[in-house]
Amino acid sequence: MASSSSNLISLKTSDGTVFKVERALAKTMKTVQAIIEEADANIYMIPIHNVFSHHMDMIIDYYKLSVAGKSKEFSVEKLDNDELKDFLLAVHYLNMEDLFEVLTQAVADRLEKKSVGYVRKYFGIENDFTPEEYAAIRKKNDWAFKGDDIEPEEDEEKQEE
Amino acid sequence: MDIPIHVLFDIMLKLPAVSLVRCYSVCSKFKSIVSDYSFQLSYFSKAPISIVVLSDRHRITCIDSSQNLNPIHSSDHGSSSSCMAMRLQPNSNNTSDSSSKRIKTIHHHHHHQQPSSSKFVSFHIHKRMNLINSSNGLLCLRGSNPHSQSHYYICNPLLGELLNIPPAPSAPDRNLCFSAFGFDPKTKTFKILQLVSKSNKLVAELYQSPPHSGGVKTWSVISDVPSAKPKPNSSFDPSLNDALHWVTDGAISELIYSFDLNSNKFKSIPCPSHFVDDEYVSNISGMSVGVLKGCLCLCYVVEGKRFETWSMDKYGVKESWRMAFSIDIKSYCGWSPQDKHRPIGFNTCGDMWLMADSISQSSSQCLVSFSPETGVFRHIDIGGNASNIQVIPQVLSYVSIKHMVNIRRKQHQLQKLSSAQNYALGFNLFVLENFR
Repeated sequence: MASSSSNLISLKTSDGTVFKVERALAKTMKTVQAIIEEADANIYMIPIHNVFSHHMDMIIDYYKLSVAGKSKEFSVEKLDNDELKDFLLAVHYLNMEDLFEVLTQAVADRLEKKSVGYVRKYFGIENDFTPEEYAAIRKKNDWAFKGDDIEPEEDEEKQEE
Repeated sequence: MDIPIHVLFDIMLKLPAVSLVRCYSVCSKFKSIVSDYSFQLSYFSKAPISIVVLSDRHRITCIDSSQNLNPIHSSDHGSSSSCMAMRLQPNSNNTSDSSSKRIKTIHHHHHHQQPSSSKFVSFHIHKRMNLINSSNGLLCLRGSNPHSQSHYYICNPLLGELLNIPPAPSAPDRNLCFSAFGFDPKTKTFKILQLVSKSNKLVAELYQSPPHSGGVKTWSVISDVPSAKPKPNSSFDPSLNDALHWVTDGAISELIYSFDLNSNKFKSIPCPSHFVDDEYVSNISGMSVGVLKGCLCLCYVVEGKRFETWSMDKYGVKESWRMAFSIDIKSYCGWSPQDKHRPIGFNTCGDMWLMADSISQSSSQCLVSFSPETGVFRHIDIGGNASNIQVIPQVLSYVSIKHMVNIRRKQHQLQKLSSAQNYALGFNLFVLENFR
């Protein structure tokens, strides 16, 4: 199925679904835009790796809202942490500036009051400090760990073993 | 880790300062990002204006403004009271026009003290100090000593670092008319200007910190000083656009003076056009200059009745003065704001900070924030046992003084202040959403 040089671009997600999107939307995806510009013949279909159809659904939602001037209404609340992370990486791959800002802010908002252990789990990182290093850092910045709206550190008990 | 570093960088740029500090302890990779100089600079460039408090002349505390500006449900937390003010339309010059609305007075008093998140850090300073001003993330202090020379210090109040400066040549406190400091992050140098009255003449002394390419500079005398004397306490935020600003007691053409930190020259700044004659000026009290949303601003009280704030939208251009907002003084709701003519400063959104007498605790002071958009005054008790509270606006920076400034061992000593326990300050803790 050949795509004409019309206003629609065909994008194929990792799970095999084909989306026909407006050229204007494709332009917000710098990665896709680069592919279009490099190819001098007509492109039939642009595969977008790392992007799934549920990501494209949300991207299209965001695009429609922002065209209508309602980009503030876009919400990722219903996504759990892993889904949000995946979406962020998909948008990062597509190099979409505005949506990327929105998503990094959403992740920052979720991490804001969380404990160090939560942050580690979220990014899949190990604590690579020695107990002495960790204790020294914690002591130096102790004030940042107090306060009733901050989740307590579960790993504190572990450190004292 | 499954996220690319620069994505992580972007996320961390959006974290509020307290969360960022916790990132030091996540893992060594996070620690290295937060410690990275270019990250700290990017973070600083987006940071909101916060507050530094010097209490009892020796204890310095940073109060961080949260970057997440939540809407007003802050009456749930801590003790706060708010009061709606009668708000005048910004472009009107008279009080009695129909566009002014009288809004009902609302008082919320919450008597349960909920200690909220301690988004502040305190340090002890070993000697008595006065706050001078802040500039680009650094703070200037002056040792308070009525008899001897002026000793200035540069401070990073978030990290608790204090840098000694060689003492100024001249005289004790009583002759000091004005002093201010400007820091240039690009050249990593700073200058301190001091205007001193000697035999009834004004003498200007300037400290210039050494530039990178060697050459020892310290205090020097600047010639061509304007004769108009600076008005005391007339500048709540003097540093802007590589210049320092203050109000004088001179003629209209010399009412606002500036010192250009690049050329080391004095220059007057034109007043708004409606400052037509001496009669108008004589009806004005409490003139002061500062910074509002990156522009030079002028605050004063007209006929004892109306507080006005004007903003010079284009620096140096007389026609660009525009009234930002005005307040009917009666509508301070029965508080007696101290120094009501002189704000402490403006935050990033344009809300004004000032000091007032505390309602709930007599003989103590509290911090008030006023939002021109909503017309709401919000007061936060910071009183208790602390006396002599000096407050200035400041953007908090994680960058160490070592990296911000060229330090010369012979002139400067960098010391680390000892941290102070928060409870002893007597602050009633508050949620920073009130700071708006």
